[in-house]
Amino acid sequence: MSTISSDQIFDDYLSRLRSAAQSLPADQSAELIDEIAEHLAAARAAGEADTTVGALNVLERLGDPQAIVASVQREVPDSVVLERPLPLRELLAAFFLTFGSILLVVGWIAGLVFLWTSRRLSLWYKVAGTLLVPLGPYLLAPILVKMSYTECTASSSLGGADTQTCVHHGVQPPFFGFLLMAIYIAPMLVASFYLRAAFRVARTEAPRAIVRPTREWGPLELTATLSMTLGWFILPGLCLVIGLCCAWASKAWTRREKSIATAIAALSLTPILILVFVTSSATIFGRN
Amino acid sequence: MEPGETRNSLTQLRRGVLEYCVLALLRDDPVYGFDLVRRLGDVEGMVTSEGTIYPLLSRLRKEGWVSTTWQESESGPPRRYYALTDSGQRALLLFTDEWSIFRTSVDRLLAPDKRGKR
Repeated sequence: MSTISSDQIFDDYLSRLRSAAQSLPADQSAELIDEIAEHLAAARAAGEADTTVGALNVLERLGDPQAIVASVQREVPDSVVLERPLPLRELLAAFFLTFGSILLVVGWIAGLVFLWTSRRLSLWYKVAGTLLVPLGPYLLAPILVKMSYTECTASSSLGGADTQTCVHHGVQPPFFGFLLMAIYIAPMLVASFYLRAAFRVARTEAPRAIVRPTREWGPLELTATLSMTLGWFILPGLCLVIGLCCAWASKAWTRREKSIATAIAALSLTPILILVFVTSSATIFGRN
Repeated sequence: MEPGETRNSLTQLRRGVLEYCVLALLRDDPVYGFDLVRRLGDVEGMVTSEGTIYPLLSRLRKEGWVSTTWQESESGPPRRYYALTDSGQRALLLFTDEWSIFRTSVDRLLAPDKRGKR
């Protein structure tokens, strides 16, 4: 009789645990119930549940099902983290409307798409970002350089003294220098203002629960890190692509960490883009 | 500070230390889950409910500090054994070093003699 009632006591306990564990994710709930059922089976095998009092003592030591479920939830913060949303769209807009405009027309248009599809920025920022430096600094500046130049003609007189006549076309110096500087600096200033606004809005948004991967770094994460750091000195372009592929395939990094890695990769591309820009613009816009 | 707050602080402290006590029990050989829980439950002031150790074990397994294996049992169903992994071993060693420094410092501060006042 006592064995039957012990079983009943245990069954009742397990059903209370099951209903308490409904608030947990399915896998965690199943795991917990399995472990506690196994514990009860072990106590029974050890002869501790031969009597009703014995069975009650086993449960007394185990604790209240609600308390056990609460302890699962307490352990959760290590696997689930609340992440504030990152204003990724605005960051991309800022990048493409400044350095990214190096990818001539395409970069600037990409920047506009990110800017105008942003839900965090006011119309004022969108208009300012669009009209301040149309076509982006890396296209507008060379066009101005092409249009503004100094043409000098040398003529030698009979006395042997050479005379040189120079005519400046387009925007006159020294305003030309200031204008060029403004073209490069202004989008960055505006970008810093709307990024500040975007981050402020993002801070007020509801955080998202992200399952933090508890797996340690594996070959994938190591390859991503090495490719995007040391890889620069071996095969800059290819290693970057490999690094990004590995980073996004990783199961140990969160989406936020992957986004940050991508942003760093994009920024690290800037010096190369500038180099390409300088050499190509010298060919395209080169003065005669 | 109210006595309730002191108790709360001690609960937090105990919770932080408990996982290393689990690792310490697994230091030499794999231990049967039920025995592990019982041994911790028998230590005075360590855990108030044995059932809360299972979620902790589950987290330690996910963190890769302990691993589990099933072994046949002579008296009953197969048993789940917990063992320390290499990273668990490293975590335990690190904690043991830090803990001995921490414990000595706290003891010195708590001691009512003159040395504690320094």
